[in-house]
Amino acid sequence: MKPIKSQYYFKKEQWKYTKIDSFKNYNFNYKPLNHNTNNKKCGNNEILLHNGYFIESGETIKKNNIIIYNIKDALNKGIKHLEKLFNNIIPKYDDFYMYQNKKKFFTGYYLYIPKKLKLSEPIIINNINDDGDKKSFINYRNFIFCDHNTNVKIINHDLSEIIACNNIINEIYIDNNSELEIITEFNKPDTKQIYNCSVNINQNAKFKYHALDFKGKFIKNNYYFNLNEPGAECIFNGFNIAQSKNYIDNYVEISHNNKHTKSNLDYKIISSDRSKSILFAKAIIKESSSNCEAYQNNHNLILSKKATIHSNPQLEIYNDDVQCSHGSTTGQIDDEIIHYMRTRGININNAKKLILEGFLHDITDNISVESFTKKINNKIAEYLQNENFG
Amino acid sequence: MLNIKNLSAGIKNKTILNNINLKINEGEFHVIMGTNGTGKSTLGNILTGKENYEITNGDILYTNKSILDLSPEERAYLGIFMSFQYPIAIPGVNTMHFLRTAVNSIRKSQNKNEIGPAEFIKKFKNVLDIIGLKDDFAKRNVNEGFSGGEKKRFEIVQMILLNPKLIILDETDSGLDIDALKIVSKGINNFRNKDNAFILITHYHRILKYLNPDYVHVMLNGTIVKSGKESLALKLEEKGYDWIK
Repeated sequence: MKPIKSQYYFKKEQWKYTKIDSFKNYNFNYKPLNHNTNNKKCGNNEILLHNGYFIESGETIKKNNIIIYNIKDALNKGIKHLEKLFNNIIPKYDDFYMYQNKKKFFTGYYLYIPKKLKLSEPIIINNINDDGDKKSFINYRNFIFCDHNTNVKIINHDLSEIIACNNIINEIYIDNNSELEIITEFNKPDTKQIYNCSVNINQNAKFKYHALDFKGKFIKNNYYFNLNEPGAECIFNGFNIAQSKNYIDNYVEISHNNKHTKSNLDYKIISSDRSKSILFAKAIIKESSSNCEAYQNNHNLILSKKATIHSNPQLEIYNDDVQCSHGSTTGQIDDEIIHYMRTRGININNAKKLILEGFLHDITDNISVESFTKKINNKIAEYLQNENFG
Repeated sequence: MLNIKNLSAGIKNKTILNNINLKINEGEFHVIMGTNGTGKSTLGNILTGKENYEITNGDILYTNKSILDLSPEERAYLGIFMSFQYPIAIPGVNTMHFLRTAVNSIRKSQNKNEIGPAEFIKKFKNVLDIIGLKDDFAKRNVNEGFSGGEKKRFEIVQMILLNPKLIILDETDSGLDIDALKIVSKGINNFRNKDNAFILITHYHRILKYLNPDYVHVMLNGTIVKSGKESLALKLEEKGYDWIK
């Protein structure tokens, strides 16, 4: 195994706020069970995984010729685009965790969306995670290929309630004129997770990613969105609610590698207790990328004196003919708003709940799957119900 | 209904209100006029229980009980309401959700049943119509992106739905065009009855011709220096404040 070169990795912006070697003594060889002991039924539009291994898919998935394999199996099938793109969408350099994953992964899936497939119903990927260890990382490796002229939505649904450490690399390729929307909810207070997600977006293709992080002992997300062809667009939309001693660090890098590309980032953080949250967002517009648009909005609320938020939105622009903006606010809930609401008979606790609910609904309103928006809004209501802000 | 007795108050050791005395009975409409920075809005804020003000002397009795120790929401439960001079935007909070929460909070304090969403939206749309606001206001967020006039109208919508007893209107007429002024005045007049009372803070006589107030008070340097009938407002508009000083 390569030694960890801390000095080198600290220089990387992804790891500016989080120590790269926090888990250097953890085991990275943990192999989880690969059979479904849960007997969960697979719905029509669902794909069932057990600890990352593919178990079965529903009728809608089969009927529409959506292909899903275990990643290890897929790599042995001679799938041309997989051979060409595997390990080439994720950035070339290896940090410690990417290196571990590339060398040791054995679970995860390959998903192929056939050309011209347009699905109104979302594909739900249910991962039943019932095997893990608090001192061992499981290396997951997923690969999604959306062929040209497709339009699908994917909801990642993790059914685990165990203490686990996940080290994940997702590579996604979206071909010309396709639209992909991914919704990922993370709500695992005892889980440590390092998540690298890299997406190549081709001509006139559109990618939407909703990152909804409720709780996590330690979450380090690195997102790399590459707008490679003219007309490519990406939207990154999300929030995190950090409580107790949660640590949630998001790095988002959007590369405008071609002209007429567009990106939009909307991210909100609520940090309470002794939690720490980070958003480092960077849009890079290359010299040859004229007529690009890049917008970044980040608004954060700190609910306690001991909570910490770092916000670092950045634009790196090497072309004159672009439209870009970025804005970031971090602060407490405005006392004037609270007073206004109190004069209407709403007490401090309920006033803060309404404000926080509205703050988060701004993000969930952007999700196009109505049923999921309702579900996530219920979870927000549940979180607010259990808190006392008075 | 309201009895302000020898009230002096300030903020951070700065005296703003100086020995104010004012009695308001049910069914009365009072107007407070005065130069800028003389403490009119401070009086409104103190009546609604805004924190950070220090009461250095006197008392505020509402239905014969002191309200100085009550929180803003407790005062709202008792029926005290203020239409703000600068209504504040609440990002992401829907008008209808906000107002239904407010109405039901007050109803709960009075041991009344909550109003359900279906019944409330009917009432809400009806009041929006009275005040000349479109139905789609129910889908907007509180004061977010509202024009100055819309904000003032929405304050009156809130007043009607919350059904308070003592209403403080802080410069409700500013920012309203002539047509809006008429509509808002009509809304206020329709709401007036023998059981409620109003304090209107204003700089201009123009709204008073629609509202026919019972009393006009002039406030200078934190105290009420003169009281009279509506004619006093006309005289102020004609001659300014110098003749009182």
